[in-house]
Parts: sequence; structure tokens; C-alpha cells
Amino acid sequence: MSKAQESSTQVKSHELEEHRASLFKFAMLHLRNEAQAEDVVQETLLAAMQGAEKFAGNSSVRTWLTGILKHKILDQIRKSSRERAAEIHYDEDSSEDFDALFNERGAYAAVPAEWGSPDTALSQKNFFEVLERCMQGLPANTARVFAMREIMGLDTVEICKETGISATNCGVLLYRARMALRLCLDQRWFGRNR
Amino acid sequence: MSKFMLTCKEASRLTSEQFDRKLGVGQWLALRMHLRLCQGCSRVNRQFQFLRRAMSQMLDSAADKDGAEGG
Repeated sequence: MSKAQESSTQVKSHELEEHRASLFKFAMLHLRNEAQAEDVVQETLLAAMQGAEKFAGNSSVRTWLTGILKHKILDQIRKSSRERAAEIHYDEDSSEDFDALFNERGAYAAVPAEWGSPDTALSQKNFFEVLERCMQGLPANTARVFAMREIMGLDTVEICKETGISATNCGVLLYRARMALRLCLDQRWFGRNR
Repeated sequence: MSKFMLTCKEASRLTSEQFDRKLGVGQWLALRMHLRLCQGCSRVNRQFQFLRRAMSQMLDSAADKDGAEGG
């Protein structure tokens, strides 16, 4: 490769380093384990440096790195899926923990509040910090499955395959995540001045 | 439970499930009917939709922040 080519198309290692913090954040949303998250980010940056000439330049460096990171995270999830299958049963035992929201006839004990035009929150940086804290408040498996569904965009068949959990369990965990995040955002954001 | 009259508790499960799989025709109709009549559940439905939009933008928000800090 000529000098000119090298400088114009190759991604420099310091450019990659700039993304370390946000890659780590992404990995933590899925893995919830600092050591594992650091490992996958390190592997991602190494793979990126080694494969820098494969970077086509038609997507952003960030998108390219996130693509590599997704694979590394899924590898990590697969690696420890056997240990986690046991945990998921444990998580599931408390799948009725939203019972308190409903009365004995299955209706909401307190009618869920109106959020108005919630999308205005999406342009506020603080909102995403609150959402992240709400995610951190979920049980690890619930958060992992929800992140695979909503951030990675995997369908439930893929999630079942990667995590070794059944479709039914997956549905339960996604339900729990949505209900818990709804309550958390209601408390910490939309209803904070109520 | 009656097939066509869902409780809010049942409706909340189906409301979540419609984001992950195609509901059966009966379930879909029962849910639509419930959402039309129940203010609380239709709010929850809109809140779940919002949650999906928010999650899809979560990483962009991180990128903006990094950019702001770096520059």
C-alpha cells in the first residue's frame, strides 16, 4: 500500500481509542460485568486495528466498531449461557412481581399516568442518563435480553438461540423489562413534578 | 376468563408481546378492543412504543455526548 493510501483510508489507532468509552458503555448495557465488558472492548479494538484495511470508509468508524463489538458481545453471551440458564430460572420465579399494580379483578389499581408528548425527552441528554440508570436497576438477565431485543435489534428466535432460554421465558423477561422501565421513567422523569 | 374480554393484566402482557411477535387474530382483536375501551392500557401501549424509540436512540445519545466532550 502506498503512503498516500495509508494516510487516507487507514483508521489510526488513536481514532479507535476515542471510541473506547462509548463502546464500554454499550458493552455494559448487555453484559453488566466490568471485566467482561473491558475484555470485549479490548478484543474489538484489537480486531479493528488488525483489520483496519478492511474498513471501507463508507460507514462511520463508530458504526464499524459497534458492528464488531456486537459479535464479541454475542460470543461472550454464548460462552456463559450455560451458567446463566440456571440464573434465569431463578429470575423467573418472581415473574409475578407486578401483581401489586393490579386489583383482584385484574384491572389497574391506579390508572397509569399520561406522558403527554414524551418524544420531547429524546432531545434532552439528561433523559438518556435516567433511562440508563433505569436499565441498571433491572435484574441482569432481564436487562440483557431487553438490550439484545431493543438495542441490537435481534428477534426472539435469535435471542433464544444465543442465550439458551425458551421463547416463553424470553417473552416474560421482555414484559418485565418494559413494565419496570415504564414505572422507572414515570417516577424519575415523566412524573417527577407531579 | 372470557375470550374477548381481557383484564388489564392480560392486556399488559399482550401489549408487550405484540412488540416481539405477531399475535394470533383472536388475541390481536381482543387487545385492540381492550385498548380502545381502556384509557390506562392505551397509555401503557403508547409508553411501550415510546420506550422502543428511546432505546433505539440510546447509542446515538452516547455518541453525541462523546463528541461534545471531545470537542
